[in-house]
Amino acid sequence: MDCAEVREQFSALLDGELSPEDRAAVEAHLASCASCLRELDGLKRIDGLYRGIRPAVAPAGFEEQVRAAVRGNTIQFRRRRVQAYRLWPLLAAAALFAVVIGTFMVSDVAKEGRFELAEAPKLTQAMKAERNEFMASPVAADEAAESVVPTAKGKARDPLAEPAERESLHRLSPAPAPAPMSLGLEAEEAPATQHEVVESSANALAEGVTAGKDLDMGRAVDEEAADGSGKAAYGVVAEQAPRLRAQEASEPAHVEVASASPAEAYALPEPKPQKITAGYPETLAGPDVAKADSAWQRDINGHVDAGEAERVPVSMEAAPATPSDDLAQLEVKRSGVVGNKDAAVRQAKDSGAAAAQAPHPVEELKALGYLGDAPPKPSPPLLAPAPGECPSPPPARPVHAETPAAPVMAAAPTAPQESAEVRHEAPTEREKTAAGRTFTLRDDSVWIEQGYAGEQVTVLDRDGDVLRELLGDGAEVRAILDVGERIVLRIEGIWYHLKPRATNGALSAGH
Amino acid sequence: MVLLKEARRIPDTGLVAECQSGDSTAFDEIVRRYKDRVYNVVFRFLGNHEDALDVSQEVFVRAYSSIRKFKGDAKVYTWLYSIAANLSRNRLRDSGRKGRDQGTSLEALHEAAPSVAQAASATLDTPREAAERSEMDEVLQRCLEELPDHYRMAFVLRTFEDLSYEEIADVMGCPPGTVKSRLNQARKLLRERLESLAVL
Repeated sequence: MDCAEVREQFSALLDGELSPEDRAAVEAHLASCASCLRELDGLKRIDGLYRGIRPAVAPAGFEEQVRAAVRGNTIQFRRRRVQAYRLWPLLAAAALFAVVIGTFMVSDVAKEGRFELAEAPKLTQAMKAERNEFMASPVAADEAAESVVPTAKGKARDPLAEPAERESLHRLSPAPAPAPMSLGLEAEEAPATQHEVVESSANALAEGVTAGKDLDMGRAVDEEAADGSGKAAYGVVAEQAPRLRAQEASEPAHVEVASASPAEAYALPEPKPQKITAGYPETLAGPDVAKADSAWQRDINGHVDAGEAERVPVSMEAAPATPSDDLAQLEVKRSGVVGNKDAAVRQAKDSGAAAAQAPHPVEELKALGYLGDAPPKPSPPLLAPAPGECPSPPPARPVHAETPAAPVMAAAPTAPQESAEVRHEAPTEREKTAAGRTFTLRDDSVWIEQGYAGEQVTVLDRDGDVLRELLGDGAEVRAILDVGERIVLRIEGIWYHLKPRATNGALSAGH
Repeated sequence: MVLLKEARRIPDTGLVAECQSGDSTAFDEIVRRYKDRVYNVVFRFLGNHEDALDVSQEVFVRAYSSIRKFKGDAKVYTWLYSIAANLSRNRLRDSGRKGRDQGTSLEALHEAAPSVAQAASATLDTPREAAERSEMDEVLQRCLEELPDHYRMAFVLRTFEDLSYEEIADVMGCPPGTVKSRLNQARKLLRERLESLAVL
């Protein structure tokens, strides 16, 4: 085993999860490698520190609150049910509208072999008369639900082939607007007729989805999102919409039908791209891990949570602040010397020989302005350059998750020279290839590897040990690092943001 | 229905069976046994008590509502941790959308975590040591929060709850090898971070 292989085993060694053979091999290596021994010692100390933290305990009254929630008051779950049920009238109305228009078209084409636009106004007049007559009838809603079932289930039967059904559909063309359920209305408490209408329409629309009878409607909605059957039901409406609009334009007779229907009022919202700040890197060790990551998002019932369904390509701009951003901003506030190298140099000169002292870690953190109530102080001598020298980068870089275009990065005017350098190369070349990877230069001077879609990134020091351990130190790695100062790239399925020390991590803002 | 006194002697699987037959007293005992552990995991993952309280209560409500589907081949606590992991991650995602500018700064954490500070100071010798201890805990917690979610959950389950790799794999729905890799990465990242803060 070489050092890298041995270090991969350290966690398992500390946790007692190594096989006897592996343990013996690791221990044999440690006997002759001081560097690995120091590394292991560092990890042990970390474990010791964290294990020393007192566990947080549930506050008093916790049990009573849970008891009350599980026995009498399941508001959150019921609200989900009601919300799910509120979709069904909407779906029923929209699908019914689509079916009516569709069947008109099919019927006309079948009968005439082509559209007779001249006859359309006549048809509309007849329809309007029937509609007005029918609207007075209290059974309109029930017939609406019944008439939509066969078509939506995809059966070959044409409802318009039978006069009675055709009449029913004509009457329903204005698609009676379903009365919106009140938020407080329990699914179980819904009036029988309305419940039946909703349920029959739902069954017709979302074939294959076991909803309705199972009162866990939140789950049903999740399942729709997961298996796509729900989308299929939505798809009926979505696919019809453009056709209907085209039809409105070319066929004045149907414009009245369309405008009389509530379909537009119930237009389904378009899915919007959303920002994800807490998303996972896709995989750590290949496809099986990606699958496992996905599996973690399934709850114990086996259904997919909303997060999985909602994971979509994201915008890389203006992402909400992450904890790391908070820390950086906090430190920006405290240090008051962010991005001002001259100030840092002055402070370094003022600090003098105090750097030689080694305070207690907590005291040191206080001195850094990182802890407690300590007043804001200038950069500490420990991390400041020697008098007369340029400010040197901090000794080690924090690695933390953040979004690539985080506000701190955008706001901190830490390295004007660096920006100038990046700009210098940007106008001539906006795309580079290195080690088989293609990188594109973004406006904020970050080189983005092809395929990046705004996933969460882990920030790494481009000169740090972690990167070397991940990528090695070969020619390919050097070629990649030559692409630019700041690079977003994918390593073993995880996106990393490589930064130079001067701009890397939360602490840099304070130096 | 079992009495609360009796329930305390019944193993987890027996309690679940009682719950599945409609005995809510047995569920009370499950809550009593695991509330602190669930709360601790959620708190360490989310980093603030307000969210931790909400989420850990919801964990038990969810567990109660789906206890009939619980199969005896799993352990009750890994099942609860699975729910906790999912809900915590959802909460993190939701709070990320709203902007995580509250409860995550060092000051806010300090404000929101009086019980941690009190607990840390309970058995210490001097006020100075107690203060240092609670401040150190805060720093450690903040560093923990900077880890990517899946590293953090693995580390929390291992370090604070002593779960085996197999159990963590069950909770997170990934192979044990992935758990090992995540823990290794988590420790490396923490070491770098703590070294940069001169804690190590």
